[in-house]
Amino acid sequence: MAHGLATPGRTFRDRAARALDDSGLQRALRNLDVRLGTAAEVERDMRPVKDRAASIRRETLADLDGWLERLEAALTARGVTVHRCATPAAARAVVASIAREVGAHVVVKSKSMATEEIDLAEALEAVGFDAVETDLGEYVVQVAGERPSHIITPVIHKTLDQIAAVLSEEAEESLPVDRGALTDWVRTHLRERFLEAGLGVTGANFAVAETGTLVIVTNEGNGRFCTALPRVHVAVVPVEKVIPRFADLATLLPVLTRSATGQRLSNYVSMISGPRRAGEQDGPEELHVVLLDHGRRRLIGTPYEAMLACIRCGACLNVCPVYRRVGGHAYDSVYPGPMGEVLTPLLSAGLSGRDLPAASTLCGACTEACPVEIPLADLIARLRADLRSPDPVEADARRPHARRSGFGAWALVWSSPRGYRASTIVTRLLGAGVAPARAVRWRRRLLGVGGWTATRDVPVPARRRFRDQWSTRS
Amino acid sequence: MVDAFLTAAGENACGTHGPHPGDAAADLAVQLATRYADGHAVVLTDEPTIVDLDLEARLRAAGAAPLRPTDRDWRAALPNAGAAITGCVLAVAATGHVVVAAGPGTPRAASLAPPAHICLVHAERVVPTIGDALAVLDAGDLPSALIWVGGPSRTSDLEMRPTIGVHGPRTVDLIVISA
Repeated sequence: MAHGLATPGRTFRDRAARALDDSGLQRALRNLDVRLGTAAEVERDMRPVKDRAASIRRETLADLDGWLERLEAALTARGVTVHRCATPAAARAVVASIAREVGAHVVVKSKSMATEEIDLAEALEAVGFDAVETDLGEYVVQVAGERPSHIITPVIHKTLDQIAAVLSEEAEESLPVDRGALTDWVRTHLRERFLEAGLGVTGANFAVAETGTLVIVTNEGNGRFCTALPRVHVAVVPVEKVIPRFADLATLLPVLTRSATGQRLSNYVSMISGPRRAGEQDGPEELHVVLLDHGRRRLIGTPYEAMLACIRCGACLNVCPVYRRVGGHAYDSVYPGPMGEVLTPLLSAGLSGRDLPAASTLCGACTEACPVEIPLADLIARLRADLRSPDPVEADARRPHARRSGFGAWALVWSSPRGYRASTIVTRLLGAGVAPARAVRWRRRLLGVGGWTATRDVPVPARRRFRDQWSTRS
Repeated sequence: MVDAFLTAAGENACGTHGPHPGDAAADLAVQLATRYADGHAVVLTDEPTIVDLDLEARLRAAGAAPLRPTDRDWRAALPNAGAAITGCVLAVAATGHVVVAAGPGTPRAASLAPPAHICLVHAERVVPTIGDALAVLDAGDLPSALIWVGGPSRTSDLEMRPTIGVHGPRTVDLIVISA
């Protein structure tokens, strides 16, 4: 998952530094404030519903394989073809072969993080299909040759001027910097694609095990087109999207859309139970579901299991003080922000996103914003330790590596009163004789790590230790 | 509850009308559709609500051109249609959504492709909450597609400010038929 197209740089730190210097990006990111107000409101209104949502997600994960079997049986009974895919490569191959069978040149896509995760559009383009993103933001990002920078609002990193420039180039005419005019142009342009497409590709926000129903929420209506007009529909569904019962949607739908966009319910909700039936005038004749694992099921039973409760609402991105300053591209991952810091190294078994858990202040805003109670900050902290092993998930099984680090040594010393006392003596000796004027240089020399002291103050140790002052108090 | 539904729908940028008796509701639907379609075809579904109120004849009388899903050129004519009149299986007071069901005579694209969607809502089909709607929909007997429609097509992708009319209808008018 190497997606450094927009903000090159080898480490998160490089990319973040670049993002902070990008004045256009900084201007665009200010629009995130809209969602910050929403987050506070959601927190106030939704607490009881959130508890129910979290408990439904926990119930699902407690027997994920069981619910998946039920889902597969229900889908199959409805005439849906289910493809279980362990890897992104397998999923890409399945969709490409369906596209070849359909024989349609144009493939219309609705916004889906799962298809981003497996690089599906690129893979289809590479074998000769015209894979068109149809979500307005996602379309702008595709035309610009970039990657989405937010899981809900993919083009949050661009200002309206910049979006107008991208679309004008595609239109080969100068489009006005006006929301209505730009939207109209995209509408007209993409309508033709919907009408000629032979294959529609979507994700799914939920997949109901009880009824074999795929649930897709959108605001624009592109998801509706992708599932109404093309002869074949493929939904790429990561395994954790399964939910037990149809009635659970009463809890999960409002929680998802309130946390994602602040709406009571998204503008459109499609509940798809199988392909077109006899006598119907539209809808796909064939419906395929690609059930994607990609390193998810092996998280069950590990301390990272809770991450699979994620419903991709983006609330943790909107409140994260790091994301809000650097934007999504600095993470160089399909999934940015706090949820991406956890998910990226886990899904790739430590092959990518290794420095992402460091991109956090551990302030806990993400944990608080999460509508399904994922302890994001705790998972980020745990990953920092587990990523000293090549595969963080395996690391957890073998645990006792903490001692090897400086923090481990520190913990050991401070575990006994004698060790603690010794450390205070050493510190006092180190600080002795430093004049306040030279304190800054002292800090740099003492720690020898500019990264830590560049933005933090290290006080010069007091001449007398607190315990000495205490024992001689009057 | 009908009031609550219309208030919520209004907040979602829908045009809200009624409750009206069936005849008045049908006449209003035809009047709105004729104006929006401006000479283009008006898509109709074959739902009982639409058939019982004989919207096809009313449209013809008003000089508009109805397009029915059973017409041979339905699919070819759809992209040029100017408005659609549909019914719905349910409406949700808490959120202002109507639920349309796909089936023979009620294609998915009918309420999607034309730039204006007019939906007739029987007052007795309005339920209080999403949970009530899911219970009425009956998990044991779901149609191939249920589409919940909350208002005109919209996006917040342009600097997070709402813009209306991306892919689906630019206007949604809900007309409640009194019980």
